Amino acid sequence: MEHEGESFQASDAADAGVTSEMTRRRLLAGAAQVGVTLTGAGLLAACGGSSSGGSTSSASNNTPAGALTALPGGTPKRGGTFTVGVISGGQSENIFPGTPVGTPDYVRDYNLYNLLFYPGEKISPIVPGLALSAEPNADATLWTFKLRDGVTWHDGKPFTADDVVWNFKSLWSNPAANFASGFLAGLVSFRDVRKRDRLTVEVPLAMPVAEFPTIFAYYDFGVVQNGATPKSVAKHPIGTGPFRYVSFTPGSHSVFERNPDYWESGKPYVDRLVVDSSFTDNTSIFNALLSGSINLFPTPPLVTARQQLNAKQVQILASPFAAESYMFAMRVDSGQFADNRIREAFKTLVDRQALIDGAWAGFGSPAYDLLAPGTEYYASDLVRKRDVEKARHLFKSAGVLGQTFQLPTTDFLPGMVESSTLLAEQATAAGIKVVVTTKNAATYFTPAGGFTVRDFGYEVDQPVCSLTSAYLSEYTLSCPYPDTHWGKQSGGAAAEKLISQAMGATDKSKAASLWRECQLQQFNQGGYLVWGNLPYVDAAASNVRGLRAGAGFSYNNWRLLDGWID
Amino acid sequence: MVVVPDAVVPTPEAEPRRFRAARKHPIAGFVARRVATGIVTLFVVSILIFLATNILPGNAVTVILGRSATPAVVHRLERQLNIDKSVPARYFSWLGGAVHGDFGKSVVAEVESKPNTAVSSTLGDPLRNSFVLAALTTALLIPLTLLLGAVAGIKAGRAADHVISFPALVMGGLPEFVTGTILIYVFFNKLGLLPPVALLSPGESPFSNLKALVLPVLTLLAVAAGAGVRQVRAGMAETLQQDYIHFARLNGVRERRVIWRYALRNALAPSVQIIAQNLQYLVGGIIIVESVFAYPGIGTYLVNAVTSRDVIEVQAAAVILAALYIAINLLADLIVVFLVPKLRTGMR
Repeated sequence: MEHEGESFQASDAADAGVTSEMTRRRLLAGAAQVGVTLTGAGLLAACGGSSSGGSTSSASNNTPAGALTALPGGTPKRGGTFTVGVISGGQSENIFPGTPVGTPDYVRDYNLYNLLFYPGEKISPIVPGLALSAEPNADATLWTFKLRDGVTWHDGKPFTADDVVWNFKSLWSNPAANFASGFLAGLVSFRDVRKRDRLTVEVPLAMPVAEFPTIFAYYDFGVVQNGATPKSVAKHPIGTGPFRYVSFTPGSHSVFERNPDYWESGKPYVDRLVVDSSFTDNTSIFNALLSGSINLFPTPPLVTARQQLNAKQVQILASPFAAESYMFAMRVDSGQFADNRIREAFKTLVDRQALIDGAWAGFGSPAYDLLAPGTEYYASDLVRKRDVEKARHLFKSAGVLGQTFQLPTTDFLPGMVESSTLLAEQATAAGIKVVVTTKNAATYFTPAGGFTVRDFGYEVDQPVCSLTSAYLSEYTLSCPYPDTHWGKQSGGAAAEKLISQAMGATDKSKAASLWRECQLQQFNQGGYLVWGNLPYVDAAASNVRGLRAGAGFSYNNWRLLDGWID
Repeated sequence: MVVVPDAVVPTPEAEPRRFRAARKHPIAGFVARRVATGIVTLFVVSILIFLATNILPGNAVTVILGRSATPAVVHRLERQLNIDKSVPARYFSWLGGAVHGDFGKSVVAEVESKPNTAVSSTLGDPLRNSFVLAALTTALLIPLTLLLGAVAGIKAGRAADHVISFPALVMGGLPEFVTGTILIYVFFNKLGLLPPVALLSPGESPFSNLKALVLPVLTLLAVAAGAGVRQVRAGMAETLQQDYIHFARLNGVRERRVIWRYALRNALAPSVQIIAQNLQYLVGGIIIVESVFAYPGIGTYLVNAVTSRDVIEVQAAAVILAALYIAINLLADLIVVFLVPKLRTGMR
């Protein structure tokens, strides 16, 4: 049956315009520069990433000339202060790693705490953080995490298995203490998580998951000390990260000092880290960068970044690997988009490159309705040709030609409104009308703002390190971001079962086959029109050195510890 | 011909007691009435602000918990923070504290178990910073508006008038963010003389880096003075056309004395209202200017509070701004009454 299903899906894909991907994507000459992983990456054999080959090119993008993948190097200089300018999150800013609500929180969390694993510079393979490795049993239902020795907390206590067990049992199982707990709900048998010895933790699962460790290379899973709670952390946060807490005023300033005992010997180079989140406007952040009041500006407006590639007043870092996916979400189980012909028509009519040029100032690469670029089993060969006539025909056969579709959008991230407007313009050529309305960014992704209710909307997926993570995030019935309501459509139970089988497949060839089948389903019938993948584009003052771009977060997962001031 | 019924005309005997009291102290009565009106206005404004913030989709809990919030968690937090109660109940609960100077606790800070949740304690720094910005602007605005407006009025139609009035027209017509951006371009990007941002650390005095305040003050000054100068000019020009000025000149009174003793003094009363209008503009304009220059004042505080749907913070900041607006209005009226004896006698 599996074989029959696969051949049927492949045939569907061919009809939909699957062509060779390499003709459409350009590998950057600078791609060879990437590939620095932390020591111990080789130990990740069981993590599903290290043996992957070739698929990471799927996250490559057409970064404009002049953007740097790494700032100039040389002999690091010690001292000075990194001041990061970001748009304020007001009082909602917090300092607990499980509940970040915006960029100011991400900067702090990545520098105060450590993750068990981190995304690689090309997403896959993941690289070790507080965990050196994770080994599964034969059917991937019991995972053994080996922890890093010699790590100390900011208060001098040693980091041990007790800390990790506390995070699993008390925090990562609790939606109020961890916004990504939905990834683990129903997956981890939290009660039975146990310490095997001082630096070993056993995590039993309720179902087999072959890529389990990749879930933890996600920003919500910063590790806090045994016994720490959101309340205790709010008073005085203690982490294992490269910078120690000094002060924190929400919506204003937070100050951190160098952790001299950090486990990456000799780092960080700067003495202080200041997060200035008093800004309410991107232009003023850029002016502050030009004037030297700050020296790092993560994710500036892309038009500004593009201009600076020529003006060269500041340095622009852009990863050659784009892994943040932008997509229009169509509900598959009910409403206007329940008819797959309409979903397919939208996927077919969109001019992806026009959206990239118009909404992202040319940064980024086209995507073809699949999530998690750069991960091991990502089907980078599934590519869709634009065909407006075909789209018109599909709309006509679905009986919606001339009809109006409402698209609520928001300006939460760069290019969202612009790409929505461009889609609406392009849709008229296919015989339908799309009406774009811009909603408030603060509530767009909440039920009060229409999230999980609307038929048509916008979604952005931050980089994840496996298809398992992406599917747990978007496609399983208990997922936290059910924009498309995948699994609730007719035949959805079988689709959900297929996802479970793919997640549990420990044999790599079988996993590859099952994940391909899952992706073909999404490509042909899924509710996401994924139109582009955006790299993290960041700015730094001209005298900053040593920082790198990565496919994960800004400055290669906020590794400010690699940088110095010349 | 309008016939006034006898019953409507108050006789001294039938006049209520409070009017008799007001007759004895016309200014006190005026002040009392204006203060009472101000308080009622403030009350109505606070209701409108409260309703407006409640019309916005979502609340602090949904913003903080984001899309990963389950209905159960949202409901629990809403109960914990009393934001599941009705709007009138929450409003009166807030009002009870506000009249005692307690603006309540930041909803967002409460959700996140932050050590310092009292809004009153977080308002101090932004209020002080904004006050400094507004005070510096005012200190320059009043003499500049009067001087340039008076000169333009006296020299109406001549070169000096054009030199003053045309730039004033342009500056008064440009929005703050445009003026601010132009000033940044000239003084930072081109000349490299002044910083384009006015960043302050928590607790840091705005006077610690006066250079950083120059461009925000200049921006506010350009917009406010631009409008003010033209209005004072019009008042001055009109006064100079009055018969008594003409007679004074015919009587051989020296021109300087005509202007200083007769024209300027009489042109001052409308100027007070014009300056009051400009100060009221500052209350609103400062929000945009603070954003352009990243200056941590009450405007930035308000923008942040709206972003995180912290109704209590929005309410506190907006009511303070509204109270300032009303207070400036009241003060201007009082100054006019003191300046123009005719108005005082008119109260009798």
